[in-house]
Amino acid sequence: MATGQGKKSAAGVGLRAEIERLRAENDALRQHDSELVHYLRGKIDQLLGVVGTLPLRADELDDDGLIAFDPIGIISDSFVQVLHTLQETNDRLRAARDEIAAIYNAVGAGIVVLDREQRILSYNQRLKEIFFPHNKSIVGHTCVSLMCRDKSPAPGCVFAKVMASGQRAVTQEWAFNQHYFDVVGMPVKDRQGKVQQVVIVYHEVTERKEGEEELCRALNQAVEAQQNIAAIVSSVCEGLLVVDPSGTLLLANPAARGMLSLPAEEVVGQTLQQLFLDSELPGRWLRAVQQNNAGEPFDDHLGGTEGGKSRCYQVRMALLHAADGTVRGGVLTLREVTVERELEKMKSDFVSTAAHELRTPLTSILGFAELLQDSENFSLQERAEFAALIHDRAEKLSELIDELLDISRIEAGQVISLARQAIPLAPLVETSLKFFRHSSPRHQFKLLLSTAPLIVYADPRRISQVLDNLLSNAVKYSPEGGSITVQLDCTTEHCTVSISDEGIGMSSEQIERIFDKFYRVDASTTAVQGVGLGMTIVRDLIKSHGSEITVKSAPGQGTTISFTLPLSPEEHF
Amino acid sequence: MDKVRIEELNVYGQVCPSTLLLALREVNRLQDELHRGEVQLDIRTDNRYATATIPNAVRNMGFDAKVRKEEAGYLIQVCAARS
Repeated sequence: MATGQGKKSAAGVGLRAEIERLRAENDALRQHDSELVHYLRGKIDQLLGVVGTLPLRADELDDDGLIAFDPIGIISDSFVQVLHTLQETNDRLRAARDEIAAIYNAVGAGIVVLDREQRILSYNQRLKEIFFPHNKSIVGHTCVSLMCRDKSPAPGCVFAKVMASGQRAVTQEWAFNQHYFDVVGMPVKDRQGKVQQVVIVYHEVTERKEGEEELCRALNQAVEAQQNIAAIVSSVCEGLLVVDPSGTLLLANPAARGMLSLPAEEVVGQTLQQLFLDSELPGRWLRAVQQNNAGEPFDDHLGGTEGGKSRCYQVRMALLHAADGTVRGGVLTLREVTVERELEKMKSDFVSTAAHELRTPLTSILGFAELLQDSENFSLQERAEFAALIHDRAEKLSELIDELLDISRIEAGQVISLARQAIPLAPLVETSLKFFRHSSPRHQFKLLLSTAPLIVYADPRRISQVLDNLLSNAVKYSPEGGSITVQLDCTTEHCTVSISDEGIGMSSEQIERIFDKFYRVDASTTAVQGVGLGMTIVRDLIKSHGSEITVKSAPGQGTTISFTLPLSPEEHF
Repeated sequence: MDKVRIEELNVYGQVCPSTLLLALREVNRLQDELHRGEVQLDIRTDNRYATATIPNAVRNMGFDAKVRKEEAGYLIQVCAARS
C-alpha cells in the first residue's frame, strides 16, 4: 500500500512540477506576446506618424483586434503604392529634366540661373556665345561683375526687379556691346515662397530694333513726304483732282473745291460725269483711260457760271500707272484761263482794230499823195487842201502811235514823265471842246465853270490828251447825239473835272472793266472806232498826277467820268 | 467615356488613425480599378482631422482626392489622378 501510496505521491509531485513548468512557460509566452504586441504598437505608431496621423490608442483597438486588423499590412501596402508613385514621379521628373536641358541648350536665347547673391549657377551655350565667348567658365561669378562692368547693377536690372517683386520681370532693349536684348527674369521659389534662384533669359532684338528704327525713319520720311505733298497740293493755285479709272474723285485740293464751289465731303466719291454734266472732261478722261494716253491739254467750261458768265479752265490730264502698266488713276490739273482767253481774244481784236485804225488814215495819205503827184490837174487851192488833209491824217496816225507807245510804257511799268506846271484849266478845256464842237455838230457841248479862276498843277499836253480821250468816248458812245457837259468844280485842295454824256451808258460789269487794256465797251459795233487803250492810258495819266478817276454810268442813262487835279500851290485858299 | 462605379466607405463615428487606416485598406483593395479610372471611392466621415490625413495619404499614393462639406460631415472622393 505504502508503495502504492508512494507511487501516487511521486506522480502528484511530478504533475505539480509539470503544471508549474507549464505555468511558467505560459507566463513567459504571455510576457513574450505582450512585448511583441507592444513592439507592434510602437512600429504601427511609428508608421502612422510617417503617414501624418495620430498614434493608435490601446482602447481603440485591443491586442487581438490589432492582429486581426493588421495596420502594418495596410500601411505597408500603401507604402508600396507610395513608392511606386514616387518611382513614376521620378521617371517623369527625369524626362522633364532632360527635356528642359535640351530646350535650355537648343533655344536661341541666352539663359542664366542666378542664386540670391547673383552668382551664376548655370547657363546655356547660347548665353556663353553671346556674352562670354572667350571665358572658360563663368559659374560662380556674379552677373554684375561680368555683365555690368561698372560693378553696380545697371538701371532696369531684371534680377533686382525679380528679387524686389517676387514676380516675373522684363526689361526691354537692354544694351550690351552694341547689341540689344529683351531680358525676362523668372523667380524660382522655395516652399515658403521665398525667391531662391532667378532664371534670366536674354532674347537678342538687335536686328528687330534696327529694323524698327529703319521702319520708323522710313515712316517719318513717308509722313514728311505726305505732309509735303499735302502742303503742295493744298497750296497750289491750280485745281488738282485725283480720280480712279472710272472717273470717281478720290481727292480734290482746296483750289479745285473753290473752283467747283463744293466742300470736300461732297466732292470726293462723286464721278466726273456727276460733277461736270455739260462738259467734255468726263468723256475725255474715259478715252484717255481706254487709249492709255493722256493727250494734250484742252480748254473746257467747268463749274457752272459766275455772274452769268461761264468760266473757262485749261485741263491737263496725267495718268497714274500700276506696276503692270494699266491705268490705276490720274491727276487732272485745272487752271482757270477765263481772263487769259478773253485777253487773247482782245489782243486779237486789237491787232485787227489797230490795223484798221492805222490803215484808214494811211489810205487817205496815200490817196492824196498820189493826187499831189498829178499836180497839173489840180489848182493850187486844191493841192493846199490835199496837203492839209495829208497833215491831218498824219497827225491822227501820230496820235495813234503815241497811244501805242504810252501803253507800251505802262505795260513795261515805266512812269510816264510829266512836265507839270501851273496852268489855267478852263482854256485847256475850251481848246478841246472847240475841236469837238467843230467835228461833232450833232452834239451840244456845254462847259460849266466855277467862278474862281482854276489854276491846276499839271502837264498841259497830257491833260489835253485825257480831255480829248474822254470827249472822244462821250461822242462815240452817244451815237444819237445829245448833250455833252464838262463841269469844273473846285475845293481847297483840288479841282474836279466831270464829263457827262447822254449816251448808251454801261453796265456795272462794263464799268469794272473799262480801264482794262484792249477792252471796248461795245466791240461788236463797227460804228465805234478805237483800239481799247484810251481809258487805260487816261487812268494812268491821272494816277501819274497823283489824282483819281471815277465812273458813274447805267445802261441807257449816259455816263459821267470825273477826275481830280491838284490845284497849283498859289491857288490854295 | 465608361461610367465610373462608385464604391462607398462610411466611417462615421470613427476617429484617426482608425479612419485613415480603414480608408487606406479600402484604397489598397481597390487600387487597380482606381488607377484605371473604373471606380471612385466616396469616403464619408465626420472626423475633420481625416479631411487632411486621407487626401494627403492617397495623393502620395498617386490618386486624386477632393473634399466636400456635407450636412452631417464630409465627403472625400478618391479617384485616378489626371495625367
